[in-house]
This record gives sequence, C-alpha cells and structure tokens, in this order.
Amino acid sequence: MKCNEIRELMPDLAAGLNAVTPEMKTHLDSCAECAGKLEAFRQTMSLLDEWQAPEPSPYFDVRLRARLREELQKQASGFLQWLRRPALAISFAVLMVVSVTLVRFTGSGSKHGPQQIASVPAEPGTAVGDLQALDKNHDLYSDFDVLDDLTVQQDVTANP
Amino acid sequence: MHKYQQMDYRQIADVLKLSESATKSLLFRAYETLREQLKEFI
Repeated sequence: MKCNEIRELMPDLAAGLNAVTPEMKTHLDSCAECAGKLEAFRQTMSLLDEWQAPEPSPYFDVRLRARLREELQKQASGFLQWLRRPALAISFAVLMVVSVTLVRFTGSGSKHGPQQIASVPAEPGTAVGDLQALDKNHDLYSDFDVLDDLTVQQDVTANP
Repeated sequence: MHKYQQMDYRQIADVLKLSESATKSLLFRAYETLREQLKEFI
C-alpha cells in the first residue's frame, strides 16, 4: 500500500469508521511519516469529541425576542405608517383627486390658448395677417390651379 | 458531515456535488487544517 492510498483513508481510520487492515498496519509500521500523521489525526478527532459547544445564556432567548419586538415596532412606525390611519388616507385621496382635476382643467385651458390668439385679426400686410388671409381663403386659392390649365387666348378682341 | 453525521465519502460527494476523489482530498486537507489550528490544544 502506498502513502497516498492510506492518507485518503486516514479520516475514516481516525474517526473509527474503518478498522486498520493488516495491509495498512504493515505500511504504518514501515512508514513513520504516515504513522505520525495518523496519530495526529486521532488526537484531533479526540479533541473534537471532547469539545462541547457552549450553551447560550438563559437570557439569550428573552433578549432576542425583545429585540425582535423592538424592530417590528420600529418598522410599524416608519414610512407609510400614517397611510394606515383612515382620516389621513381619505384626506390624501381627496387632495390627489383635486390636484388631478386642477391639472386637467389647466391643461385643457392652455390647449385653447393658441386658437384664441389665431382668431384675433392681424393687420393686413404683416406676416401674420398674410398667413391668416391664406388660411381663411384656402378653398379659394386651391381653385387657382385650374387657371393654369386654361389656354391663353392670344387675341382677346378676335373672339369676345 | 464526516465527523458528526458519520456520512461516508459517497454521501458527502453527493451533497457537495463533487467527485468522490475530490471529496477525499478536500476532507483530508480540511482535517489537516483543523489539526494545524488546534495543535496548541492537543
């Protein structure tokens, strides 16, 4: 048996899960390093067997529960807690409805603004006045294209 | 798992999703590290 093979089995040997076979014993007798390692493993295992996990203080549970209650109360009195009160929640809802209504009315009023400005007659000859005239007489000016299709009569007096 | 739950290499390898040889190697190194850490108490 080789050193690598026996070292793989050392945790089981030291923990007592496997017994030392004659083949292993032969190797351990001839290899001081493996024998020393196995002995060290056994000592580590026995130390782990002796070790006792410390029990928590009897007041630990009491203190833990108290802290949990404190944290729960902190969260409850925190953000959005005021919304749980009905009067405040209703007030908030009414305020939101009034705000939305005001915003909508103000928004629709601003939509009519440009139309009212456009309906104010501008002085003729100005740029605004010309644009308003074009807009007002759009139907009339659109028919002007028909005139382009007419043939020009050279002698007006020949055929009145 | 090995020491306190007496699980064998195959079971530990399944839990850790490792090969059996990797588990053996890791376990050996873990015990070595533990021995180094605890040598002043031995």
